[in-house]
Amino acid sequence: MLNILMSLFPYPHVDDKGNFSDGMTLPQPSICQKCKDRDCLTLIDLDTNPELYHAECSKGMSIVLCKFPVGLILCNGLIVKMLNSKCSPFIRKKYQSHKVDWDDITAWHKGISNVIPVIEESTEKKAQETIHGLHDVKTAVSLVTRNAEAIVATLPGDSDEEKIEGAPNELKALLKSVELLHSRLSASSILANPEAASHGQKRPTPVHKICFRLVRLFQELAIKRRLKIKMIGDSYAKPNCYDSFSTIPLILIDNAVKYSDENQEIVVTVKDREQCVFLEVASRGPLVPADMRQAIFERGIRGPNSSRIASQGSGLGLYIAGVVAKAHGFDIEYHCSSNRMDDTSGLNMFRCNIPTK
Amino acid sequence: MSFFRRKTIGDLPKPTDNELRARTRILVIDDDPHSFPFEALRKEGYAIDHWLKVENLHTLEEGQYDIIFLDIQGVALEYTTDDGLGILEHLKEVNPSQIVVAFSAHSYDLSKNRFWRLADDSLNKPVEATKCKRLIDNLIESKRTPARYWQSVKVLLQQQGLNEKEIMRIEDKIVRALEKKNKRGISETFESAVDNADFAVRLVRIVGKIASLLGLW
Repeated sequence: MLNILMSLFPYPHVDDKGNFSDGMTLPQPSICQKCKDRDCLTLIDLDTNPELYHAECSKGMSIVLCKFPVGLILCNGLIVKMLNSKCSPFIRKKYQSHKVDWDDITAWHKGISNVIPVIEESTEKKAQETIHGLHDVKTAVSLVTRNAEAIVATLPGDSDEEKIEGAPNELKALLKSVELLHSRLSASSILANPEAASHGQKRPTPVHKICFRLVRLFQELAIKRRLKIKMIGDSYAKPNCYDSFSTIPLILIDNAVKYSDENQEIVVTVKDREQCVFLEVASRGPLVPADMRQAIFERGIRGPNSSRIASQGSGLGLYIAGVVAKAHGFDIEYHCSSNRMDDTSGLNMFRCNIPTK
Repeated sequence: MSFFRRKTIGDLPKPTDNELRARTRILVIDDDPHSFPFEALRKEGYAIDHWLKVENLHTLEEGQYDIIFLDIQGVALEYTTDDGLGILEHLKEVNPSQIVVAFSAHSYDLSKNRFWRLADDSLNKPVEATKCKRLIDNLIESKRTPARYWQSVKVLLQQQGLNEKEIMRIEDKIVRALEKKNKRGISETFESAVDNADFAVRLVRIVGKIASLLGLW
């Protein structure tokens, strides 16, 4: 939302990383482009109370901090009539076009602040309408699940595990697909409602067993992509986790299978450590550029190199995994084998430590 | 040690896992007949009933079922406009010790979060039989305990203004009545402890859960 707002902003502005952008109606003045002081970035305390705050930089230009419910925008390179007192007559004359009325800024700020909740509500409504289609899919998957269980029940064996072990390969493949469907539907629910990541009670969770099952589930897909997938490490600890936890290894392994270079090996490591269980999914493929390593856990962000291997992809998987990790009180970290900007391929490692206490 | 040591709920015999499983009455309220693995679980010895919608609210209020799997949509519109959520809120008010599992496909729905938060546990549809079994066994182990039910009684007695000593005295009487399978003794203990007859019935109902858990009646 803030990005949209910035692109529609009428005045020149600067983001928190120091990038200067033109406004919709006013470009950046050359005085700001050439400025070496850049004190506009530090002059205003961003926690300041008023929703609109005026200050003047060392060059005498006006800076206006605009606060919105979705974030803040710092406009620079203006001469706000009546409020600006530092600006020299020469600059005032040179940047005549950058003179603005405080009332205009106030009116614009008020209008946008009023319209943001309306836009958000309508976007949310649309997203919810789309996602409600999930209900029908879930109902259909329930039916498939019951039928699969009915077939398993007819097989010889004392327990479900024994029955499945002796089942024909086609049935095993079907059961794996059903399990994968369940996991993916669960991930979709978290995408629509992040609070779903903490629904239910936390239970002792066998991380190693979950990852082992997922590795088996993805085995076939990996073979199709000429990949090997293996698991290493031992873990006996069972950290208390919500049901949603399995979404994390699901997404990390799924991504590794999707984005690995051909003929490579994916290694899933699960190890007990002091007060935590260490989980890592390592694969060789497109690297995430250094400046994007934090952003990949944001909604809808995909690394530029990832499209080299998989053109399709929504950039939602890691966001969901991040939401689930946060619900459990830990983070997922990205590490790679190279920090060179020109390296596009290498070893990608996604790691997390699941607390056991 | 005093010869006249006061008895506590902890003195009652502990049922085995299999006994607990067989003594736990489960109800699934869901308009979709395929969402719950009834057959697989019944074969494993679980006592499960199924209602397509709330058939009798009084039965639920009385706590005749130990675990209720409750869907959120299309199950109780005759009783409340809030549907499953309305029923859950009502049950938690009249019978706080009732174990209710939120069982729905609506985990994606932001407007339904209160339903998930209020329930004792949750199960997202679609669900596999193994996951259901795990959840039920976990609930039986963690929540179907005499101590938990007695805790609910204690909270209600405290709300009535009874102090710790008085509650301990009541606990002693109740445990002795349970050991003798004396239903009447339980009713009389509560009737003399609280003025409100309806309230006493609520307490008797909760102790009834302990009795059924121990296979006393």
